[in-house]
Amino acid sequence: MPEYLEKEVLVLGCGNILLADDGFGFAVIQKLNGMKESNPVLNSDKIGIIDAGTGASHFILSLIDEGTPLKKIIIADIIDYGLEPGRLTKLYAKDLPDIPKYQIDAHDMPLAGMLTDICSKYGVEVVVIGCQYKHMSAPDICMELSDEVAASVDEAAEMVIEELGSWERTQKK
Amino acid sequence: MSKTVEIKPTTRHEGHTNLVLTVDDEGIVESGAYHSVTPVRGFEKFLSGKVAEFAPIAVSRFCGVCPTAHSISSVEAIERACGMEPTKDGLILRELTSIGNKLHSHPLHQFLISPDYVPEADRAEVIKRVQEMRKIGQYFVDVIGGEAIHPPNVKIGGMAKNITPDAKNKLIDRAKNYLELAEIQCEYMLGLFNAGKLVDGTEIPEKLGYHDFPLVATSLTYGDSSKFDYSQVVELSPFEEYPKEVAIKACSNIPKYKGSLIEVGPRARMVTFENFKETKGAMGIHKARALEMKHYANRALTLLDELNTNGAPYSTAPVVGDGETLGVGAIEAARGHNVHTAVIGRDGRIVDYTAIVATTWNIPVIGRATVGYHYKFAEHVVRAYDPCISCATHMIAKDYDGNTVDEKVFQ
Repeated sequence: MPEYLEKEVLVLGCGNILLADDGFGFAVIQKLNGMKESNPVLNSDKIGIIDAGTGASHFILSLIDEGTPLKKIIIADIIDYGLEPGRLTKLYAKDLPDIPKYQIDAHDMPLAGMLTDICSKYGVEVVVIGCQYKHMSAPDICMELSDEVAASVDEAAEMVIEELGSWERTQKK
Repeated sequence: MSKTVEIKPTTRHEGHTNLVLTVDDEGIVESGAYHSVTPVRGFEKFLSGKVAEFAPIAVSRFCGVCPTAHSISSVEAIERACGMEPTKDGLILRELTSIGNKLHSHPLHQFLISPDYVPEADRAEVIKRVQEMRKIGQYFVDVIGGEAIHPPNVKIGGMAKNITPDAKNKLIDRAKNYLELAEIQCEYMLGLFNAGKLVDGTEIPEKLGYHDFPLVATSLTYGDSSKFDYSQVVELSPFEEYPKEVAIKACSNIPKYKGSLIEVGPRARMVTFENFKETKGAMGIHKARALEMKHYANRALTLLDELNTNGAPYSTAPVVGDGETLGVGAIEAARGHNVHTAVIGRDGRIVDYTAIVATTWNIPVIGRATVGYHYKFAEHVVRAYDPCISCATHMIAKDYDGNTVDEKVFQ
């Protein structure tokens, strides 16, 4: 089993850095990797911090099955909830859209259905740190986040650390 | 009277495609046009002017399915453009990463086709085995490539890091374990493909998917750019291959090699390097893919044995080109012959970059291969190729004078 499937917590930055604000998840992961010195929790060997790009469903979520030691998945990604650009929202499994699970296309496996499944079947807690995007450039390439989304990266990283803290506290009990 | 049957979208593969068939009164396919409808994204154009080291990182974002194959094709192309030699151990580590990607991908395809061929009673067991195999494949990519999805260790000149002797021993154990699983899985799947029946009992016509196009592969397990003559490649507009009403929606160029469409992938590799001749067509591709899983595990064991964990993982030669030499990186991705080309300037920046990915070669062949049988079988031809469309989307819309020569409609 690859090491990342042996973790208790996975922090996944989702999205494509080539498509403007879709690079938000990657930016959060970069930020977290730079915060390891001042936040010891980020160095725990029970935590995996992964730049998942557009491969989370393919290479990670679809490999989680019974027997997984995973307790919690924290996802950083953009959302489209019609909020003001850059606004951060925490979503839990129950809040995720009820998209019919993958039927047609293994490339577009919607994350939402898989996450709700992983939560209900294997008791894994799911938290999404969602950021309302301003500019999604697909199909065009743009490697910059909008100012609004870029301004939310630090706070999003703090929210991830808070979530890791609450996992750590359940550990100590 | 011919009728048109459109299957859109086609299912259980990667990316967005349509299949447009003309059929006779009995439903027999007279002509087939299979095409990508994933919007064009212009990745190659966007690389111009960037530093060469950025290419393997950027191309690994082409899509979420084969990041490894693209990174590796990219560094191979750039090394040739710069006249660089990767180190021996770097190359071994790179091939192992590439094999890891295929160790994961091939069983996943068997999961995708399981509703077609695997009887309900066996499915849970087969899927369990598939999951075990995928995990081992990902173990290789994670440990050697340095990360699960976009392996950051893939580097121009070799690999960024060697592995520890301890990691090497663990990989040997995993490869042996994979080989055991692959033997069971391969035998089981071959049994199904030899029987040639869908789960509902429908018999697959023996010659389904037969065609006369040449097969092209440069290696069984990795890729060999010296066996591929890029000057023999021509890319045509979809208008030259498809009826106008289909072409206007098609998002990929039609590449030809030595004047012909070609099939790439597991069957091309197994016929070229293992003399696999007994089955052609859709079932031939399925069987070749099943057999390949064992070859990959065996090759991984050989490479691990050869690997010196103290060897230099990468060459320190400078990454600069002459602004003219076209470097070709031909890699056998899970789905076949994946070709990137690069021209690098004296300043180390990209002058020109192109990618003709595995599925781009297969797309026009797939439509043709549906001809001659009832349209209900067409989807089984499509799926046999395990098409992965997103990165295959690729086109040239302007000529050298900047005139628009092609146009697209996105739905």
